[in-house]
Amino acid sequence: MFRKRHILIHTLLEITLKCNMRCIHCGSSAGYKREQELSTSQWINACDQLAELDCKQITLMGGEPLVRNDWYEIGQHVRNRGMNLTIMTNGFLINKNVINQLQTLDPYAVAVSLDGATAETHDSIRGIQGSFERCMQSLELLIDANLPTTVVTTVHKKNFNDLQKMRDFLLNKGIAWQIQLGNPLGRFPNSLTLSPEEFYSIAMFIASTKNQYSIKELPITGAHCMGYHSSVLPNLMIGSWKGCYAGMNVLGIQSNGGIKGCLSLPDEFVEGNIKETNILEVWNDPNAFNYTRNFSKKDLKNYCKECKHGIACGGGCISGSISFTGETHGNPYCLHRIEEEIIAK
Amino acid sequence: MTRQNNIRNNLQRIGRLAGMGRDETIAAIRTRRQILMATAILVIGAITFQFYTGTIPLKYTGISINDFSGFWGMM
Repeated sequence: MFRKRHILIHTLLEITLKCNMRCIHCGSSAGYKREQELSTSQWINACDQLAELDCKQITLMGGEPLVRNDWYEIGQHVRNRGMNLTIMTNGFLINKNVINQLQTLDPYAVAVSLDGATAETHDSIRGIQGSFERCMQSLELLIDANLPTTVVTTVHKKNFNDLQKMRDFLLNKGIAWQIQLGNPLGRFPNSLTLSPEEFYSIAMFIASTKNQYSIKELPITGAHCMGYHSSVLPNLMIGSWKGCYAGMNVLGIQSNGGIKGCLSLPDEFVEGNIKETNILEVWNDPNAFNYTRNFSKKDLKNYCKECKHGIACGGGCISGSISFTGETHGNPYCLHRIEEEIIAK
Repeated sequence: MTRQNNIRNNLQRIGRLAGMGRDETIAAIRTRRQILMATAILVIGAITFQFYTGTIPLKYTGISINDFSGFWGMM
């Protein structure tokens, strides 16, 4: 019945949509909190349900998760239930007290957003003067505390040319670097979207960095959007691409309780609300997450229809596909497509 | 060769968009090329070995050469 067995591995919790920044590229249009966001006890209950589903990894994100006073309590509960914990933050609120709290949580990773090599670029993207400075201080505190630190960079027209300088900065710092493509979702304006060739050049940059520097010098990876099935470049992601993970191995829970396969998917993909139903019921519902669990060749769109990798690939990241084309299963930002249509011609 | 040249030129052109020079562009595709080269060398090595010894390296895996006797006529 299903394309492959769905086993929940990773759940992303948007614990609030409130954010202390106003990033121009924010895919969730974060800023103000949603109406009726979940309480501490509701989040703790959600974590219990996820632990019962044998979920291995929880990521606390937002908005900005650290603006919630109970982020530590939720994190502590995640750890008490034996799940790995990652925190995604813009780093603005990290201070010595937060560092102490993070150390007791023993997180799998603390991911900090860095969008430029200079204050000029980073601050203009983040919409807050001084955010670059605070980000640098946070990274220093995290490294000094020996916490596993990752920098996440969302690339678009505004910071595309900063990558080399960012690499120089991150080299030999003991910080991992994840690079992802900015998609036209939420506040992200179409004018910032990279061309397919520019997208390919980022992939080349990641591949080249991987080949030039050891994991000790700079562990770098492309996010799930850095695919798919290139015949020129090595694999840039962690693991190989076997189709969109939304509803297969990944789940997202919005701050108002909405359950989605992936937080980046539009709201029509909400499968239920944890205020009304159990996560287990949604996860085991044979009619849920149809777009990945019951995917078939006929779902493929555009170029992917005729692609030899179509069945295995499923047309790339579904949220990316929707953001670029308005349809699922046909993500045009695909290394294989660019190689066939542009590079080999 | 024209197709190869086109691919190389296009890769260099696209690499320049992210500020990459020629060396860095080559570094980007190095791993893939190294895997292909290593595979090619192994295959050529195995075929050469077979011609020299009248057998194939697989015998060292414990598989009897007789298992492949049906293929001799094709080699």
